Amino acid sequence: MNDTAIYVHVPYCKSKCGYCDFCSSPDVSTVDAYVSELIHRIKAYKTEQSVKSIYFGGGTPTYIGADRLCLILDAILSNFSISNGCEITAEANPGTVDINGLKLMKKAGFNRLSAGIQTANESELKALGRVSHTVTDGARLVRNAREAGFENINLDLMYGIPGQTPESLDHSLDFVLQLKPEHISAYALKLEEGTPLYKQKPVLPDDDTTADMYAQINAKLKANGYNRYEISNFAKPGYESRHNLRYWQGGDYIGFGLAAASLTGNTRYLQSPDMKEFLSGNAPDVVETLDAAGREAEYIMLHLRLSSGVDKDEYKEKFKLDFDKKFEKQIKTYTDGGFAVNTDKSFYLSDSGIFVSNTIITDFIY
Amino acid sequence: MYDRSKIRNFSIIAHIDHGKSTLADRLLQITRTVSDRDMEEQLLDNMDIERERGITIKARAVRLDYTAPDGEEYILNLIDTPGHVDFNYEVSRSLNACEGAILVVDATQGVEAQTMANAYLAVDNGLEVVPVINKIDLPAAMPERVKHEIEDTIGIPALDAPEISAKNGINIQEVLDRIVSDVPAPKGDDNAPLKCLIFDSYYDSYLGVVVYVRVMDGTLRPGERIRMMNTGAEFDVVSVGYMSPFGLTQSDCIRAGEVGYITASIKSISDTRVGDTVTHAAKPTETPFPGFKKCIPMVFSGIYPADGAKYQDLKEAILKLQLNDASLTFEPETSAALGFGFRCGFLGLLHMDIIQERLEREFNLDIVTTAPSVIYKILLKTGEELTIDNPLNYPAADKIEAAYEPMVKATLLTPKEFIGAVNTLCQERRGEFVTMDYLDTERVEIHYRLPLNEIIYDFFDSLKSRTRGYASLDYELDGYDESKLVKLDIMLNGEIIDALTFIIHADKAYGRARKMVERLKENIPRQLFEIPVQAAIGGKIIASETVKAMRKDVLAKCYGGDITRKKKLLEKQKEGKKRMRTFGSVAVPSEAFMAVLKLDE
Repeated sequence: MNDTAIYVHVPYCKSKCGYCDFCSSPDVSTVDAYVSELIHRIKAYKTEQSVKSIYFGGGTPTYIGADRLCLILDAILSNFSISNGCEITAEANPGTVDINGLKLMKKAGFNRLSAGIQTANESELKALGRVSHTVTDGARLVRNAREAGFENINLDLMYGIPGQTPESLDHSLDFVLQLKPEHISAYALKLEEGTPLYKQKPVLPDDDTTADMYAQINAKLKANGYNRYEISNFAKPGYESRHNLRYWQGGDYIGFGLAAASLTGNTRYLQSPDMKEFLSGNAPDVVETLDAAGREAEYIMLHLRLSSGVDKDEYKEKFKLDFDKKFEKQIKTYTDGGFAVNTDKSFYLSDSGIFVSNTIITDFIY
Repeated sequence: MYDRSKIRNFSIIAHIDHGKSTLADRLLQITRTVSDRDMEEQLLDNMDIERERGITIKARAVRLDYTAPDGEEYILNLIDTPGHVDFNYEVSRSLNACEGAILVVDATQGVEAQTMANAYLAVDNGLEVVPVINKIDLPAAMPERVKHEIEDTIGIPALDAPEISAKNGINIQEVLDRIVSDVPAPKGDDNAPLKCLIFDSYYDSYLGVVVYVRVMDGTLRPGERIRMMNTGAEFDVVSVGYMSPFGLTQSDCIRAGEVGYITASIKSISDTRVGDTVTHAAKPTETPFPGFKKCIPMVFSGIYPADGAKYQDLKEAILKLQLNDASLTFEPETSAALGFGFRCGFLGLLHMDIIQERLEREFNLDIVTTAPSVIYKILLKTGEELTIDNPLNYPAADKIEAAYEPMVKATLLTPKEFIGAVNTLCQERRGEFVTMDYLDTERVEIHYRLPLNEIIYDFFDSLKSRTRGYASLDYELDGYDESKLVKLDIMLNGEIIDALTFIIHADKAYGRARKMVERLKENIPRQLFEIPVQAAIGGKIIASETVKAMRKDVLAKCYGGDITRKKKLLEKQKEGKKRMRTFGSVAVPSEAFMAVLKLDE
């Protein structure tokens, strides 16, 4: 492949949320060393591929300051060949960046912002252990971003929160919609082992209620002009996240930072998840080479999460297999049950299939 | 030196947990048969299960060399017996090998159902019964009251019974003195034709079957040809000798009055049935020992590997267990639901439980068992008679003239405050009240006549939980009664699951059907499609539940760094599903089969 994308991981946060099991920490003593190690690695990387998108994720990238983010981005822009119209995203959390910082970032080249709003109800923020910001902080962040010139904004929303009701979810949806983002991600809360929230053993809405909430989100966002293009992602036409689509469509990407993953052809690299090791600069990446079957399994797993589903011609070209023939039994089961749609060109999960996709996907792979 | 007057053959009988095995340990220790250093708790109970449950599953024997305080040397043969009603026949054979029995009674619990059953068995077999009051060191001990209880209920003198603590080694010497003074020396003639009673046997991979016998008459030496009088099998004796706690000790011969072992390159334990008589092939005794019975299984159940691929492993495990357990029967069986497995026959519930547990623990197998069944007798309209031990073979209702089910006489002992609970339980289980007697002011003996199929599910567990563990149960078979029986089928998604089919009394079918479908609903995970769970008699549905369709099974996030991890997660999910049994489009975990067998919770 002659193009790629870049992911930069920023593992710092003002405070760790109760449900978070990502690689992040509020300990910023290493931040300068980390930024220079990142820049060192970026400069050392040699490739002919042109970069179609850049994504700063975390943690909370904006927490280490707009100036540091710009330094890292500069290093990328000067070391790689950057495509025209390259999508450059930074995740930001309310209360970690002001209007000046946002202006600085916009000027440096960032053109998309992804903000963690999660809910418009203070009690739900508290239930999530998300103590670093208030609902008002979220609204202010979006207003400031607009003022700074960001024309492509994603807002993250959560459902299935302890204490959440259809009414409170509706309130959150209204709140998000009046901020007029181009893109919305909606994630069901999942209790990950080892997190503080997991240890609290909170009472989550049951599966039926959560499924109802998902349907509620789908209906309301659709009515407001957002299309679902992946299980948890909704966008106004033309504003689908190009960077994330690349992950799902199997494109190459290069990851820089703690625990960051890269994919080149059939090989996946994982940088060390240990800060000390990462900073030493000599911890080797964990390498995973995908065989044809592994590649195919990933292809199906990721494409069945997309609204567009599996493109059968592309599948045939990649794996030299006839999708309809190989999965005749599964296709029949799931189309008969109304969980999937099979056309000449593609196979995709329907609205009733998408929220039980694990069961369906496991039937296609392994 | 062979001196019959210095031999004492005795066994120890007790209710579960009254301290039988602990007393046996103490006797081994005090006679220096086992050194303190080698002492291990409950030495005679070799199996882990025996030690944990505090029960003896197989009979065992050991020889103690005892020097009495007056300097006389005695040979004491202790024959340890299984204490449970399922093994009643083995108990009676072991008792036949003895002249006396020590009756151990817990000073805090008093006489229990099995105390009485075993004591009566000993008295009926003409044994001298020596009562011993154990656990005298416990604060709740009431030795005087228990002694009176023994005299009142069993009718043997007990006021001068030794008061001991087997656990703490108190007054053990007194027990030995009583064995010497009260238990008669064996009779018999070592010059008469050979007559040995088999009371146990086990398979050893080097020696073949090792047969434990009590020599009644005659003398047996290696090289002689023997015959099993009931099975007719003949063998050349390889060795004879005595049992020490650590193994076999060879000797030149075993003689009238002695307890010993025989090896004769015997390949199959079915040739050495407990209760059979061993004699010389050349000069047999004229009178075999009376009362020989081939053990007849009473309770049947299908045993299947949870993972169908483990069928061979299960087969080998059952074969190995059968080497040492002639009362376990099995034959291959196929279930549409569970694949290949075995229909096994057991002496009773405890026996079934033990076999299942040994398969899981000693052989590391995950097994699924089907609902236990008894043997029903059916008279067809054509006049033909059938015996049915598998619900699947039960004929259609319109072909049946009359159906008969096995009954038991049950004896339940309980503190008086639980009389109501015991009566309620027995009546729920279609019991017919016979009599009730007060043993003393506190304890009551209640007699019921019950259908066997009502006690094979979870009667014992229910009895224990409803009486806080105080009530005890003993039962014996009591013929067949005509009964209104029906075959109940369980259906998932409209398909009959054969492994869950069972026979039940018509009046109880509805209640059980309700519980079964409810329990199944709880234990079958939600799947993509709604699953009707129904119970039906002859095609007519009498209870129904629905496992609702699954609505959420999704990974919210799946970005670059997550992909490997998410793939593994789905892989695990797939593995979990593979371990389930699939019926049409319905996947059922093994636990669901087990859950429906334990309904009274």
